Amino acid sequence: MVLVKNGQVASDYWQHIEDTDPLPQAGAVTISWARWLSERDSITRGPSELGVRLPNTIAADDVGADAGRFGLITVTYPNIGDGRAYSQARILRSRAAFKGEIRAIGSVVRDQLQFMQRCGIDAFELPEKALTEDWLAALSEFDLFYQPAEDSRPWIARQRHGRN
Amino acid sequence: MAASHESEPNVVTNETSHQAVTANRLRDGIPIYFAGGGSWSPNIGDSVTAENGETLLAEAIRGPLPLEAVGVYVIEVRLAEGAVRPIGIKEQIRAFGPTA
Amino acid sequence: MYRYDEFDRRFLEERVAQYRDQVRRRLIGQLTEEEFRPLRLRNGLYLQLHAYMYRIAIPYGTLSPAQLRMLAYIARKYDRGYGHFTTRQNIQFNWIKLEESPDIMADLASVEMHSIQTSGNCIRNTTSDPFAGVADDEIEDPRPYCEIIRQWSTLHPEFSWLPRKFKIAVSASAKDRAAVHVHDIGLYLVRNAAGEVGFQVLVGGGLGRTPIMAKVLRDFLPKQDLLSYLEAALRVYNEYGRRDNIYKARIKILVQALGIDKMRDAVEAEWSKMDHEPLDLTKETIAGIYKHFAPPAYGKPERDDDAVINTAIAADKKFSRWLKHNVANHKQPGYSIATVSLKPPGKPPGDITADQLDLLAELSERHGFGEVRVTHEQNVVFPDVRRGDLVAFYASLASSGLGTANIGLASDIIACPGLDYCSLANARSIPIAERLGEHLAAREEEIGPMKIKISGCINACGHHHVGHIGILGVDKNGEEFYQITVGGSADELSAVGIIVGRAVPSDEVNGAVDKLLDVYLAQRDDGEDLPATFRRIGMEPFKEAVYGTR
Repeated sequence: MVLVKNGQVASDYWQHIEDTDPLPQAGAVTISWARWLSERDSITRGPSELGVRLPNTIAADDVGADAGRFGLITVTYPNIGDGRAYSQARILRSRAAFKGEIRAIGSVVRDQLQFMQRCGIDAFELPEKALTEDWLAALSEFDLFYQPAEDSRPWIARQRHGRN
Repeated sequence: MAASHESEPNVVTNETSHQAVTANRLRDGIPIYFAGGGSWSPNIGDSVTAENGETLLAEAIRGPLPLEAVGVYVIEVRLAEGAVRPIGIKEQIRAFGPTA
Repeated sequence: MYRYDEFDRRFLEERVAQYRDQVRRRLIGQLTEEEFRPLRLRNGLYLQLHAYMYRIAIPYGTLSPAQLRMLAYIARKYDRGYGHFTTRQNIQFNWIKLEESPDIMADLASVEMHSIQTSGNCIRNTTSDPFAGVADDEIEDPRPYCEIIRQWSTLHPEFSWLPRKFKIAVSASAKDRAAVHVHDIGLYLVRNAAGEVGFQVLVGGGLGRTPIMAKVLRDFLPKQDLLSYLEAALRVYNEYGRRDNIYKARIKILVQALGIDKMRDAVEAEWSKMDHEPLDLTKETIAGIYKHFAPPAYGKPERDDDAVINTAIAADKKFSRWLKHNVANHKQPGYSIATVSLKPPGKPPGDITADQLDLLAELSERHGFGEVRVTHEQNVVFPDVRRGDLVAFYASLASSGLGTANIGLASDIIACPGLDYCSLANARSIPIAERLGEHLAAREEEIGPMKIKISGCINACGHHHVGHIGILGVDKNGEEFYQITVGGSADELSAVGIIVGRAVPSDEVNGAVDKLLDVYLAQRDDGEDLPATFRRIGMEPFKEAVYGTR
C-alpha cells in the first residue's frame, strides 16, 4: 500500500486498530465507527491521535458535531461503481466543517482520484500495483470544472463572468 | 435472415452436440474463436471444438488471461459436413452478421 | 444553438487526452477489462456483438451542419457508412474499433461534440422537446436549462458513480413531446400563480423491467434553484438508492420504496441543509446561456407562400400527404417545422447513411438557420423552414429517399437495434419493425395517429411500454417470441401498456397487430387515439380479437 497525501507520497503514522484489539496508550490510531459509538465516552485522546473509519452506509451528517474529535476520517470504496463516499466526503467538508485528513481506502482507482480530490478527499491509499508517478498525474488531468465542489477551485460558470 | 443461415437443417440424429470457445478481440471488438495452441481466429470455421467446452475454456485462458480476447465464453455448435455452425440465433448473428 | 467557448473547448481537449491515455493503458494490458469497462462506458463505448458500439451525445438533439458533416465523415472513415439515431436523441455507430476511438473523440471535439456520459451509472444526456424554441405552445425555451444541466452534470465529482444511470428531460409545452414522465427526473417549465416561470419537478419515472410513471416531487421550483435542488435529489439517490441489485437500483425503486412523500421530505431536508449559494443560477448566468438560443433573424412571410403550397397540394398527392403529416405549426408566421422521417417502410428505424447526413447538413443551410434536431422518436426535425420553401425542401428530400410521409403514423415505428447488434437483446427488433412498417403503410392513413414501439429486451430502449401498441422481444428456449401490449402512451397522459396475452412467434406479429388495429378502428369514437379507446372499452375486445374466446 502506498499512501498519498496532498499530492505526495507520505508515510502512514496512523495505527489502524481492530475492534478486538486494545487501544495503545499513545500514538495516532483509527478505530471503527461502531467502536467510536460504543466507547466514545471513555476515549480521551485528542484529534491529532484519533481517527475514525467510516463505513459508506453511515449518513455523514451523523458524524456531525463529533467531527472535531478526529484528525482523520477514512471513507470507503468497496468497488469502482459504489460512489457513496463521494457524498460523505462532501458533507464532511461542507457541513461538518471537517478540516482534518479524509482518506480514501478500499478500491481506490486511478481514474477516480480527481473526483475524490474534488469532493474533499486529500489522502489516498493506492493499491500495490499502482504506478505512483502515473497515478499522481491523474490529480491534474483536468484543470477546468463545470461545477463547484469542495476543492475551492474555480468553476467554469463563474470564470466566464470573470470571478473565481 | 440472410440466406446463408436461413435454412438450418433440422438436427440430425447422429450429430453429437459440440462446444467451442469465443470472445471479442480487444483492439477492434470483432468476434473471435479459440483455434487451439494459444491462437484465436475471426473465422468460426477455425474453431477447435470438444464435447466438453469447459476443457477448451481452461486451455484458452491458461496462464495469464490473453490480452487479445475479451469476455471469453463457451458456445454450443454443430458440426455439419465438416463446418462449425453455432447453435442459437444470437451466436449465428455474431458469427455471420446482422440479418437486417 | 449553444456554441463552445474557450473553456468548453479546453475542457474537451483534456477529456480526449484522458481517454486516449486510458485506451493506451488498456491496449498494453495495464488495465484489465474489468477496470477499463466503466471508463470506456463513461465515454460511450460499448462492446457489442460484432464490434464496439460508440454512442455520441447530441445534447437535447441539436445538430449544426458542421456536426452533421462530421458524423457523415465518422460513418465513412471509422464505420460502415451509416449510423443509428436512438431514443435518447443520440447517435450510435456500430462498427467501431477500440484503437481508433480516441481519434473519433478528437474529431468530434473539433465540432464541439463528445460522448461523455452517454453510458454508465451517471447523469446521461439531457433530452428535450425537438420543437423547443419554435413550438407555438411553449412557455419558454427549455434548451438553455438543458445546456445548464449538461454543463453542471459533466464529470460531476459526486454523481459520476451512482447506483444506476440517471436520465433528465425538460419540456415547456402543454403537449409533451419529450416523454418527461418516464425520466428519473422530469422538468416542466410552468408558470405559478404569481406569473413567474419555474419548474415543476417530477421524479422516479422510467421504463425497463419496472415501468413506472414519474410523480410530482415539487410543484414549483424557482429557476435560480434548479441546480441546488437537482444536487439535493441526486445526493439522496446516491446515498440511499439500492446498490445490491442492478434491477432495483434506479431512483424509481427508491421512490416506490419510500413513497413520494418521504422522498420529498428527504430531498427537501437535504436541500435545506445545503449551501445553495455556489449553485444559484444568477440572472447573468441564465442570460449568458440564453443568448445562444436567441431566435434567428426571421424574414417576413412572402405574399405568395400559400399560393405556391396550394398549387403543389393540387398537383402532387405525395407532397400533400407529407405536408399533412410531417409539417407542424411554427410560432413565427411564414415558417413551418418540418420533420424528416427516418422510417421508410422496410428500412431499419432511425438509421441514416453518411450521404443522407451530408444532405441534411446542406438542406439545413439552404432551408433554415443551420440547425436540425434529432427526436426521441428517431426522426430529424428542421425547425425553421420557410413556408414558401416547403415544396423545394420536400423535393430534395424525396429525391434522396427521405420523403416518407408518415410522422406519427403506424409505420413511424420506434425500435431499438435489437439482437442484430446488441449484446443485451433477447430478440431482433429491426426485422420486425421493417416488416410491420411495410405491412401497415397501406392502411396507416385510415388508422391515423398511432405509436408502435419495439424493444428487443426488457431494458426497453424501444420504449415498448409506452407504445399505443408495444412489442417486446423475448427468448423462449432459443426462439424469438414477441409479447404485445396495448394502451401505453408517453405524452402528458402517460400510461404503461398492458400485455394482451401470450407471446407470439415473429411471423404472427403482423397478424396480431392487424387484429388489434381492427378492434380500434371498429370501436373508436371520433378523435380518440388507441389509448383513449382502450381506457374506455378495456382489454377484453383486444384480447379476444388476437387469441379468440376461451
